[in-house]
Amino acid sequence: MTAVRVIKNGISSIIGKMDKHAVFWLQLPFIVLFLLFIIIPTVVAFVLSFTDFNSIQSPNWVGAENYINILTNDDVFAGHALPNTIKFAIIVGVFGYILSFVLAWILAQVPRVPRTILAAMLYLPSMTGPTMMQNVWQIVFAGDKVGYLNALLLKLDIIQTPIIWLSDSNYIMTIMIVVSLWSCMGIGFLSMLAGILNVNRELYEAAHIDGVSNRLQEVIYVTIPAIKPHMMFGAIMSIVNAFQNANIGVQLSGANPTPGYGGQLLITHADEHAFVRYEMGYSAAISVIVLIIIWVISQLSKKVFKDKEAA
Amino acid sequence: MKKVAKAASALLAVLLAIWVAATAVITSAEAGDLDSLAAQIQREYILSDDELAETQLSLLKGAAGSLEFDGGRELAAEEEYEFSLEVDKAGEYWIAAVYAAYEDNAFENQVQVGVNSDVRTVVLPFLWADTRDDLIDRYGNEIQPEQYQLPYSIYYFEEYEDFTRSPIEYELNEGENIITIVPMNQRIKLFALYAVEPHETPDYEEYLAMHSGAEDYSGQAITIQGEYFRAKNDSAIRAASVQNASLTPYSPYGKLLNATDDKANKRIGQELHYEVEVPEDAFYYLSFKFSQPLKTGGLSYRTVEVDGEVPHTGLMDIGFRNTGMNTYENYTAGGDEPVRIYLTAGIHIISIKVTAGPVDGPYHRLIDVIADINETGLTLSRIRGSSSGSDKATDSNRTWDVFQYMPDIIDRTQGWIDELTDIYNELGGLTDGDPSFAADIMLAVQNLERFMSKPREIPNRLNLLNDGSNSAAQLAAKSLLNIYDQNVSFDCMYLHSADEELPSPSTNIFERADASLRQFLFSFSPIMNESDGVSEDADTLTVWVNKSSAYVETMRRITSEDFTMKTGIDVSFAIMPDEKKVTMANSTGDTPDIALGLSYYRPAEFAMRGMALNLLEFDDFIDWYAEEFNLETLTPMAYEDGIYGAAETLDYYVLFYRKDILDSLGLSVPDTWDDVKAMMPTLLSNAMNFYLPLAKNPSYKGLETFSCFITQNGGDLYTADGCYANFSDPNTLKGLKEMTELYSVYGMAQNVPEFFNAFRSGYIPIGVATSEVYVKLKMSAPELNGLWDIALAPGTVVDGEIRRDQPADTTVAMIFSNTKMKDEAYEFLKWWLSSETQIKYADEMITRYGSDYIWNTANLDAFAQMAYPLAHREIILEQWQYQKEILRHPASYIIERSLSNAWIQIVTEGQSFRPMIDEATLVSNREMQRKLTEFGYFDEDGNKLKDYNINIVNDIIAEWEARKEAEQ
Repeated sequence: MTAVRVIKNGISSIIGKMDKHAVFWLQLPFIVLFLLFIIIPTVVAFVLSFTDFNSIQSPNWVGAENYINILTNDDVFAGHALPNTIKFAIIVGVFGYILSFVLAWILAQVPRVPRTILAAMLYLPSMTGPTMMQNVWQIVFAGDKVGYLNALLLKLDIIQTPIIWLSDSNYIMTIMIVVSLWSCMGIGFLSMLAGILNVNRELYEAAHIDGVSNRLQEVIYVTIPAIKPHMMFGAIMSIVNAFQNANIGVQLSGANPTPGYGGQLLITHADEHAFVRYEMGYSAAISVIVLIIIWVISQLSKKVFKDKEAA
Repeated sequence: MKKVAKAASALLAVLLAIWVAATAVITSAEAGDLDSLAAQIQREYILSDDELAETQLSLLKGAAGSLEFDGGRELAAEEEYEFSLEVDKAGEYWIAAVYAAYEDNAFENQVQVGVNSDVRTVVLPFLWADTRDDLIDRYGNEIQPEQYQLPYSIYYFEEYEDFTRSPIEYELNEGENIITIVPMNQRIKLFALYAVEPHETPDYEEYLAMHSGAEDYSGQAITIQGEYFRAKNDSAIRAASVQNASLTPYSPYGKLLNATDDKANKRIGQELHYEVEVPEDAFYYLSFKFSQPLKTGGLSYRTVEVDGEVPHTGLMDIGFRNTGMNTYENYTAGGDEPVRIYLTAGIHIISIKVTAGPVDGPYHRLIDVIADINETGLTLSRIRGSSSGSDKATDSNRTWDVFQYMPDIIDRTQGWIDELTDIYNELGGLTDGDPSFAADIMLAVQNLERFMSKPREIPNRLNLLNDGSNSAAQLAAKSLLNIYDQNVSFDCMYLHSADEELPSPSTNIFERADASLRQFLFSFSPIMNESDGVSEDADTLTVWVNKSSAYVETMRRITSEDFTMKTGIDVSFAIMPDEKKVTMANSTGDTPDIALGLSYYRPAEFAMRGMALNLLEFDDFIDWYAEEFNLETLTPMAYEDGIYGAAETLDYYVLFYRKDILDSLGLSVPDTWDDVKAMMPTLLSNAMNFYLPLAKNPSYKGLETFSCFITQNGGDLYTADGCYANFSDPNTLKGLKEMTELYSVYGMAQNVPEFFNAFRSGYIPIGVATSEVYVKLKMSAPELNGLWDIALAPGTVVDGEIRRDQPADTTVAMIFSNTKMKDEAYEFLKWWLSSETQIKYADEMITRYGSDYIWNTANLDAFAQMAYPLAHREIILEQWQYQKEILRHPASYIIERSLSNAWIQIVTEGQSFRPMIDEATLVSNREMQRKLTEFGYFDEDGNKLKDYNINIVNDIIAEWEARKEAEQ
């Protein structure tokens, strides 16, 4: 009897001890993974950004030289990558975000079956990823006469000779934006759609009694306030996507750097330095700058969407 | 009700769990037992090689005329030999040759044969056999057997283009007949020629009458395993390991060879010989367990010969219907009314030959239609004045009075439609069904119907006719290969009695589930999960290869059989899917000793960062390398005073041209860029064009696509001190000017993503391209057979000589500097690049994986043995004499990039030449200085500290030549 009791007590005391730190134990898997795949690489990148690591020989400490070079000595950064990124991020981020919301709202108005089908169709491009994107759009923008766009414009007599869209530095940016907008209905769009569908119908009825008279007012006074958390999530996703989907230019044109740096963004600029020029330190410094930019913008959007009552 | 369902599902789950657990126990007990696997495949040949030859020779005993050479007579390649063959009586004869090869290579042995001035090209295949000392490797997989050539090959002269592959009937005179023989690709040894009186193949009734007294066989079925062929007439034929539990032998614990590979046994004329011993004189039924996975709605054909003769017409062109993927079926020769074969007791040779008599007519008619469509298309594009080959667009709103130019165009199109429909119906008639495998023909018909529906727009609708990969002509051509290929895989054949119940050709769902589960469980066994990467063993040489597993598998095998045997050095191979892996491995200190298959510019990049071993450390390197390689190949692998890699494969930039089109335009093959410029007006006025690799990628012009213009003019991309760009040097400028003017002034096509398609339809009948196009033309454009050729790439005249410089380096091998086995690594490198190994490897790749695995070795001695037709081999080797590479530089990328951008700005965007070049110089110089500062050539203030050596390879070549001269 006593032996059983000892074991029983032992087990319950172990459970009791673990219970005390239950929060810790439950979070452990997440903490480990987050440390391993997010925190440590970020810290390493941050440290490397102060070195001249060429990915082969051991890195040398060079202080802030990389940052100084980026800001003072890098024509491509200041002349192409940064302005391109700002343009790309503003158009794709903001318009893509608005587009996601508008489409989500419109979809919420249609019956269930067509809604599911349409939502799947809109969501598909962001899911199938870059390969599909590249295959579809490279045909549309192919530089010969049989490329869809060229064929159409030739037929309508708008152009006389086919335009080599993807290798022309004047067009590549526009094409990148179009393609990115096409594929921006991602997880943020889905979350907003879910949010709109879950708004309590009673709120609308109440609003009508309070004097709301048209759909626009409904959206502004009821829908948006009701789905603020979803809007917030969508905004963050949209910003991150706008900065991260930068590879689209490289994939479309098949070259890094893109022709005439026309579609060069910060991410592709970093990538080029790392794997073409073997300048990992420099590349890490660019990444850190991108990180800072994203963080600042996220803070701004948090300010906008913060749920004041909850805070 | 719910309760019952619940209980049932619970019971099912328990049963499933028990089944899985039990199988797991069985699997763990059975798996890894290599002896029991080996026991399943033990087998010996019945006849020895000599006995086989004797059996075959005895069939020619009754020849009407013969000419024999004791010990054989050597016939050299491309030489004409004359023989005289005597027969007593004038008449029709078949002529058979007994011959052998000198080299164990896989060339198609084409021979030009003239009999009394009736000259034709025939193929005399060599007979091969697989060795029977098969082994199981340690993973339980059966190793592909080695193959060797049999001492004698005996074949009738057969018409190459004839799908029935019956012997040619030659008209011989009484007394002497002159026979001329020209071996086209290689020397052969001729033992004898025989004139044989043709024997008519009897039909089945006659055949039965001939053996009227014979009984039906009544014993047990005799099984012949498909993969145990005694001989084959094409080294590409091989056995495959099919993962299907219904096949014999089969094991879930390893891949046993258990059927013939349908992908390797599909070409008309291929033949497999099986030996079989039957117990009694009797009539036998012949059944096949086969799979025909690809020809939906069509038949694949085989003809059965017994002891060198087709017994009766019922065994000619036996059609095997489509079974679907990985599905096997039984088929008895004769089908619903099975036919029998009379065999005497004893050993017989049963041969299964790929023939396709029934589709011979449709195939050749289709080729004629395609040629006709293409020709009309070219005429129409000439009328229109533009095509996909030219960048000029057509005015699509213009209406054409096409009848003024081509009054019969509608009739012609209708004629093609009728002919194509007729061909399609004929193919359908062979199976009483829809010939889906040739559905492209009907798509072509649809295109043609749309094409002629609006006569006024005909010249604008050439994309429906022959322009591009979806045009009628190319769609029809696509079905050519489907008609030609006769894929069938045989698991086994049975000789059996009338009432024999043959084993089922398929498995039921439980057997399949059991086999899959065992395979799945087996995949967890330790042997399947051994890492093959960096070996822990300090005495093992680690080699990383940037190639697919097909290449690495073969490397691994010939290394262990040859290198490790000879030297005792263990080598472990690993596939490197991405070259960046090397850099990443280096940061964790895990670099291999050697890397193979790297892109040609990697060694220099690694060397600049101290990761590569300087091969000049080995005293004999240059002497050894210069023996069999072109020293110029070293240029991209040089850095400062060292050489950090050795070329492994080369590519060739040669001129491809359409003989038929150039002839019809009255153009000759150009030798220089001036010739090219001179032919441009003719090409353009015929709506055709010229292709250069510069047009392939619209947005990026790689160094290898334009370096030829600079080197041919004697220009250089770097200044003499190697620290600045040298674009304004007069010679460099001349080259740059030429490469932009060809486009901006002479109107070359700027954007040709797929040269092969344009070449095929004839819109770009001439252009400089690489081995990729060569292989495609060989493999997938049967309608162009004999209509195209290659020549040396155009050059620039310098001091009265034509400089045809082109780059060639493709993949290279290198040793890493932190290897602990320097000497062993070097020994391996020398062994791997030696001509014996390279030849052996190239042959293995082709015989095992087919002609598209051609290996363009950089070893020039070895390349002379590669499976190219002799004439093409000579052109490629001569082009390589003109090889000229560009030295790599820490800032090479900026040179490439700024010139590529300049080209796009000048040609695509129409900007002025000189300002763009100046801008490119400026951008390059700035980046070069920045990059060289990183490497210590400049100090912080921009003062130059030292020069970057750009002459290293030239110095090495000069020194080597001086040394050679001194020796003589």
